[in-house]
Amino acid sequence: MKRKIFVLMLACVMVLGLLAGCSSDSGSSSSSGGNESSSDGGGSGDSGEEPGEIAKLVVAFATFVGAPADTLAIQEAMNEISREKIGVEVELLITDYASYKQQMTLMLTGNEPLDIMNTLGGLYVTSIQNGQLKDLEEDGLLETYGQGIIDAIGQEYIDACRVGGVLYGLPNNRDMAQGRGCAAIRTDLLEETGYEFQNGGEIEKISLEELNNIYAAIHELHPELEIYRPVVGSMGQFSNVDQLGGNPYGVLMDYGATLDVVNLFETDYYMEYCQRIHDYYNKGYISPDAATDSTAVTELVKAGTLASYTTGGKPGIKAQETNLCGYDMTIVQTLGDYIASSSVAGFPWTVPENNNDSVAAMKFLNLIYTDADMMNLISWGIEGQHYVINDEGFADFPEGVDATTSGYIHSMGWMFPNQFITHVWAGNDADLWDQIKTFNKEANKSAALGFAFDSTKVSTEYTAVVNVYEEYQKSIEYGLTDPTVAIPEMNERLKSAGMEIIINEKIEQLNQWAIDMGKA
Amino acid sequence: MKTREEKVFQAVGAIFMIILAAVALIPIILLVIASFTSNNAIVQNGYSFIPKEWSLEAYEYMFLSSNKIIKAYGVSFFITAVGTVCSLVITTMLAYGLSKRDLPGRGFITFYIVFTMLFNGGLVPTYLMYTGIFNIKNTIWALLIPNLLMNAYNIMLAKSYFVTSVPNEILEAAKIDGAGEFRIFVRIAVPIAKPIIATIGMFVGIAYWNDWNNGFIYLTTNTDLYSIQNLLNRMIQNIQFLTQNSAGISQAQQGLAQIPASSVRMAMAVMGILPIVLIYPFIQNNFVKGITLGGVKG
Amino acid sequence: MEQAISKKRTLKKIISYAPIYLMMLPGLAYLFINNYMPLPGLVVAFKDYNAKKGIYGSDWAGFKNFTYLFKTDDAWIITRNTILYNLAFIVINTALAIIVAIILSELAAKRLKKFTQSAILLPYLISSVIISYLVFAFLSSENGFVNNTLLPLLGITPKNWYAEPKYWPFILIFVNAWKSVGYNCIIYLATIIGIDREYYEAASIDGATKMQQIRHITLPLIVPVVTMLTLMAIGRIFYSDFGLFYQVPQNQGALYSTTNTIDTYVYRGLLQQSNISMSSAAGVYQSIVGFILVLGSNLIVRKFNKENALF
Repeated sequence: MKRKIFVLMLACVMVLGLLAGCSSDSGSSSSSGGNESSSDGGGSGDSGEEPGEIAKLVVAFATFVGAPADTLAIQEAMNEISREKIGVEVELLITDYASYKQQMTLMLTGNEPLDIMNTLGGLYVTSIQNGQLKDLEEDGLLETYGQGIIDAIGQEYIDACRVGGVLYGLPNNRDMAQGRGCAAIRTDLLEETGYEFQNGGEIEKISLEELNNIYAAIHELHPELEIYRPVVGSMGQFSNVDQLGGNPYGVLMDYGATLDVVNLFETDYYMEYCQRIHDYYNKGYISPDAATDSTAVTELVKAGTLASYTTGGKPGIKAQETNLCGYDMTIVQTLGDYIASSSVAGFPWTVPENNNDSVAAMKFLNLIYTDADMMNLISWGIEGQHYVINDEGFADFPEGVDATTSGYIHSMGWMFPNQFITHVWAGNDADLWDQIKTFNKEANKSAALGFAFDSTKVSTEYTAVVNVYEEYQKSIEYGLTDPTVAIPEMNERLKSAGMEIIINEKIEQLNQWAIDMGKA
Repeated sequence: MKTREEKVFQAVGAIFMIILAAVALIPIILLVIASFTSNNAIVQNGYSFIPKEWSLEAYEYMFLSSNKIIKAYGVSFFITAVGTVCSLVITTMLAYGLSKRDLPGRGFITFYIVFTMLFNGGLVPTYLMYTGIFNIKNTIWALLIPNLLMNAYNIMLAKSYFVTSVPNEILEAAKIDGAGEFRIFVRIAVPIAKPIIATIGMFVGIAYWNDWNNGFIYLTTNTDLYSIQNLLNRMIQNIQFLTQNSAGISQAQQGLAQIPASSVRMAMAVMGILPIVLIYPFIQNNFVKGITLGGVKG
Repeated sequence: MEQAISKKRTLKKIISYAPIYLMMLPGLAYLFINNYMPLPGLVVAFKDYNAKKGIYGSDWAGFKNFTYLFKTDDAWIITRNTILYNLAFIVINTALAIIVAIILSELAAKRLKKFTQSAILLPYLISSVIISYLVFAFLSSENGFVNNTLLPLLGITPKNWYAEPKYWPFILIFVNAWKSVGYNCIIYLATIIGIDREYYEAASIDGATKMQQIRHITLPLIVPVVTMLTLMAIGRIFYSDFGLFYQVPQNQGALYSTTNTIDTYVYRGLLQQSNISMSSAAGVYQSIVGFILVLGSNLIVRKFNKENALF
């Protein structure tokens, strides 16, 4: 017995000794392969490499559920191409969305190997504020090695990612615009009310009043159903408001037609919106649990308890929502299509300061923005294994594989650099990408397109204002309380929390931005 | 020889404990029943003790991703067992030393220990140190060492126990007999301290089993090392992040559809506590044995 | 001469304790690595953090990063909430745990004892998120057990629980007690079992009743443990269980007035800003207050009984 304890103690002491002393290559003791390309501490150093040596990059992005099973295979397939074409190898660092921001922040702070980083989750502005991203135009980097990117995206959208005039990240090709004021409604319920469908187009354009009537009709036929479930972003979605800097503290109204910054919560729009939702609540369209229940709206529709919810309009939306809900959904739109100031720079692809070889990073970015094979690999997987091209030219699951069994599925195609050069997945229109391009072109564009807000000077007020807004947000915007009473109350408290200071700061920054961009 | 008062005390005590146990168990029973309810029934009617529709779909889904779960259990068991043993060893050794009234520098060392309870460098400096200097990221050490291997609370508990329950005379007697300090510790102090060792062991074991924070922060590429709680919490946090941000990213709904539904969350929670529920009765036997044997004084 | 002798004695003493020091070394080393080495990082709370310059190279910012904790109207509310809840927890949870421990230690029915002890420990193992779902199952407006089954039985009208802040102190205190009483009573149980049975035998021979025995033997003998645990709890009085105050109320704004604590306020405010300095400042603030309070309480305890003090 004593022997055992002694041995155990010895083991513990040895363990501690191991740690206290050496920074061993314990990184490679855990098997999961593919780690050869990342070295310990500090960037993927290539100082002192002979010419012709392969540069190794760590490319990080998030998916909703983490790295798919076949990630390594995809990585190898991609490397085969990139090795040959540009002498670069990558390691795909895929994490699940919940921990992504946290882990990226820590990696940036810890100066770990990180060469290309997608900034989904609000990382872009915060990383810039912390000085952690590289200037992509330094020494003509983008110009020399990234021409393909400029051609693929267009200078306008690239400029929209500038912060303080400096380009820190590259946008991707996707639906930049959003159909505002859209709701998804179960088609069968809609038909029951005798609604007359407009011909052609997958989105029904109706007026707000018509929407109210539809809801009233469905409610009458089905008083047992929840007619409408608001979510946190519903108010912003159902408006022509431009939330400058991605937050509602100081906004542009009217599709951002002018650069007049106003306090959203004091506008007529806000009062009217909240009154409409409060009316819905009083009429019984909205469940009292709407604010606390965390079940997804699509799940609710699937279970047959919910009739409609807010969504963002875009080409392909009907197919998408129908797929998610298990019922045929009709998309109605009451406002116009709109590209808000912060939507282009929603989650740019960046090169963190951790990177040691900007040229290799830019070359790789250029490759993935332009090479269809690379894009198809990262978006859909390996042809033949994860997808096949069917007779109509669409990509679809191979025999015997579906969404739950595929080794590479992530539904994040919209996040990658250039999905316009990839295959279209079955169930969508063949000219989906063209539709999106047109959609983007014809939408209203905010006058402040590309403006980013730096909150560091007002961080104290920002913290206080966030807490006040979140205290009232759901009760007011989900219709649970009387807005004529609650909104003035909230505005009082926002004022004393420093709302005006934030708005003034925003006005100042916006004016400066306009001058810098030559728009004043 | 039971007096009337004794009988009343026993009866009242028993009833009190039964009520407490019921209050403790009822929500858990609800949890288990919910895991066997069909997802649709949960969405439509919420959790209920008599579900409208029973179903095994949650567990079916879980066992489809079976190798992840089995691996996660393995990881959880391993780190709980190893971590608890190591922690007990170094904690008791430190506490024993601290219990010696004449130890030079005792006050200073006590302060050194208690201070760690009050001040913490914070997440970022701790992370930078463990990752930059000790390089434990994505290794098993990241699950064993940060913050869990020892804490001041347990040390103080053990020290207090050594001070009050291990009589100095016995230790002195052994020293006179010529025994070395370490031998005294192992042969005399530890057996007497079995109750506190069992207690701290339980605390530490539960802490290791429940921990998901270390895995959350330090495991980025090595998903093989996810413990069962880490797996569960990631899944749930993914859902929460998506529901909160779902308008900022309209595609978030797609992500939500991918993640297992309400009933699977319940099933995962059940899987998280199941091993402890099964093992605890056995540990409890030893706990009681250890206490009654060690508590006998003479 | 006297001094030289005593110095020599001290040195000899230290050497004689060498094996003991050796035994203590792994633990002390671990604390150094885990707790002391990251400590200098706290300076980031006083700096204007810029990643390019690193933590130590960034400019000094004095107390600027702390102002957000005080300058707001909410400062009073979050501080009050944090302190009051912790005081309630300390008093209620300790009392409950002691009562349960005493009863368990005296219970004769072995199977019942084992079963109930295991049962009350289980809630501790459930994560806060799951607990929030379970609470929702009871308190949901439409499907909740309370609104649908319980209240109609008692003839009370159903309420929208998540919209009424005034009930939540009771709800949260209850949930916290439910979760932790099984865990908290373990330490008291272990202490009570360690008490020499002879005391009790002697007392009952003298004719003491059960309650008297408890009052005069059991309670005094667990005072050291209670004191120590309470002192340590006081040190954490500005901290709160994030899961309890954020997840269980489902992050409902309507409930902030009674559920917003320092930790949740900081988390909400900084979520979109990612400001390391400010979040570190909150941590420093909480630690310092706790530290001062523990020092103070420890001094008071020392006046009564030197042995029970922490240091």
